[in-house]
Amino acid sequence: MRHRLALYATLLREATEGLLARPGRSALTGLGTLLGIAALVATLGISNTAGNRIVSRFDTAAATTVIIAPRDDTTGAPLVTLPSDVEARLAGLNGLVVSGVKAPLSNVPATSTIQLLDPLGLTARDIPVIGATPGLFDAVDAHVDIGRTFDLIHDERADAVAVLGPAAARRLEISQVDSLPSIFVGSQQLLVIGILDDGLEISPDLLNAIIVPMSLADARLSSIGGKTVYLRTELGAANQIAAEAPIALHPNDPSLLAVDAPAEAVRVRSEVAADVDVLFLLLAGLSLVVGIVSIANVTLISVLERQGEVGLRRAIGARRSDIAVQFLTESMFLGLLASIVGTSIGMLVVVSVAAANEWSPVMQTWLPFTSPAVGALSGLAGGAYPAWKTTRIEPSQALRAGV
Amino acid sequence: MVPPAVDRSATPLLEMRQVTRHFPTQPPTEALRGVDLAVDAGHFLAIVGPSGAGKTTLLNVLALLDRPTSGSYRIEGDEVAEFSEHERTAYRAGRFGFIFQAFHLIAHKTALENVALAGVYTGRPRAERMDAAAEALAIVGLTDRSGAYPPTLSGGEKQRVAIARAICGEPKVLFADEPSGNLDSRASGRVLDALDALHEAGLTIVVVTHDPTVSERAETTIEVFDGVIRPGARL
Repeated sequence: MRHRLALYATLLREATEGLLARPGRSALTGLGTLLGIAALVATLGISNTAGNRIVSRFDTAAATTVIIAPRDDTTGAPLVTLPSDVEARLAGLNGLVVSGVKAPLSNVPATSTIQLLDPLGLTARDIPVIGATPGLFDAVDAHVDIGRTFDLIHDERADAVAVLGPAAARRLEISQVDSLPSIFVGSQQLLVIGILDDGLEISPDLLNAIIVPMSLADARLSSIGGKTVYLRTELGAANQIAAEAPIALHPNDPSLLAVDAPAEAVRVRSEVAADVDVLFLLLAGLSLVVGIVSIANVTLISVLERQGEVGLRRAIGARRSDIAVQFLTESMFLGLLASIVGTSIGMLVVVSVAAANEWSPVMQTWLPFTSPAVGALSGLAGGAYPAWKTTRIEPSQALRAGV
Repeated sequence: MVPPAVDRSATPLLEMRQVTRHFPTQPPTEALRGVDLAVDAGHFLAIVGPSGAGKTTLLNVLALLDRPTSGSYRIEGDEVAEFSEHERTAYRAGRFGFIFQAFHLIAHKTALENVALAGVYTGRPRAERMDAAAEALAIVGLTDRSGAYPPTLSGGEKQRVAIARAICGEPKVLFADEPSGNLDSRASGRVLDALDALHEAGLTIVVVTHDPTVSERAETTIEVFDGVIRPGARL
């Protein structure tokens, strides 16, 4: 055993010397693996860094939003009616930033900007009207372009005010609210106090809607349809809120409420990132295969050139396995060295790309440690055939070649 | 393998009976055709003959670098045909030394490291091998060149390094294939002096050569012609 260990230690030394004896050739041989590993690391690193960027965007937009609505029965009617004190019930939830309720009104008469006799309805527009609690604007991250949104006072008093979505404002040809322009939903006059901007990703139906206080909608406008509750949570609290809010809203049977939590967005992001990873991994894998073939090719040539040395070693007592171990060790070291350099270059590329885009470089912790192992294995794979081939040569045959 | 008990004093060190070696070329080459040969311990045997006669093939079979196609070959009474590949390798590592016409020195190793290569595959510790290598280089008079790399050595020096490597493992038999083939007469003389000294020290030497100055120094010379030992050619 001791004898074999001493022999393997010597073979390691011989393999290292063999590599260093031809530094130029070794460098060129390892170039394919170097490029393959560099491409692999850079690809995974950049896709992770970009993926992290996507995640952060999802986090700010979607991962803090929970949407709850009653489930519908087979006829499309809501299975349950949400209580009128939704915001009060939710207020105690830990991690909740703000909540708001939205309810589209049904059977709403057409809207016009001037109340006049217009039997043909030429000046009227069919624009959806949505009842909302004041918290809705914050809950869906809606901001006014001009004017303001209504508040709790407006809501308590059921003031006849409205906030317009930008598309609705354009259809009604209202572009400023300094003079509180009026609109008429049927015969109900409403004062326009604000117009929202276009950033309505969470609830895009507000773009083309007239938004009025929920109390006004209840009291003076048409019947209210199914309510939807929007909750904005602190980062990381969305899933907990998604579990707790239905109980707070309908403790008898929370399952009657449908909850849209951010898991879906995160899953989509994961799938997108995975698709990108697969594409780039294929390219990196291709580079790596080129690296393996390169090592195999040059090692084969090297083995043929070194037949004399092989013959000498066999003559002085090397077994076939000793020769194979030496050549495999050489090619494995070559793959390892090339991949360490390749990993470093790949990481440098990731950091450079991240710095150029002012992103935070992100990389799986296992990657810098695994890639050299992948390189060593590719070297081993590249050296396998030449090593096997050289062990097939009889010493007398090999000795006919010079060193 | 446990060697059978034999009377060593009566047994030649190397003994061949009707050994053949055929190569499967088109047409087949009969490099050896029924060779009978015995070499006693401590002898200096020269094998001569024209090119292509089968000298190197004979040496390769004797040195376990090649396998006979048929016939019996015994080393110290042990039948080589019964040796496993591992045993053949172990035999070469422990009991045989080799000198080649092409020197077969490794260019990126110093003279000392080349000599110390002997014993690597017997698992001898490196320090021990380096000491033995320095001693072997001293025997062939190359102590002052121990740190030189082969490309900087003369032909004669290279061959003496090869001799040092061959004797470094303290072999029982030294096989040499055209040891003076690439040397001028002066370098050749020094190499042959070294071989003489080793023979006088009791080493068995089998040498293949075209060079009459080499065969002149041998105790016995046989001529191989067309794959057989020429009758009556034992000198």
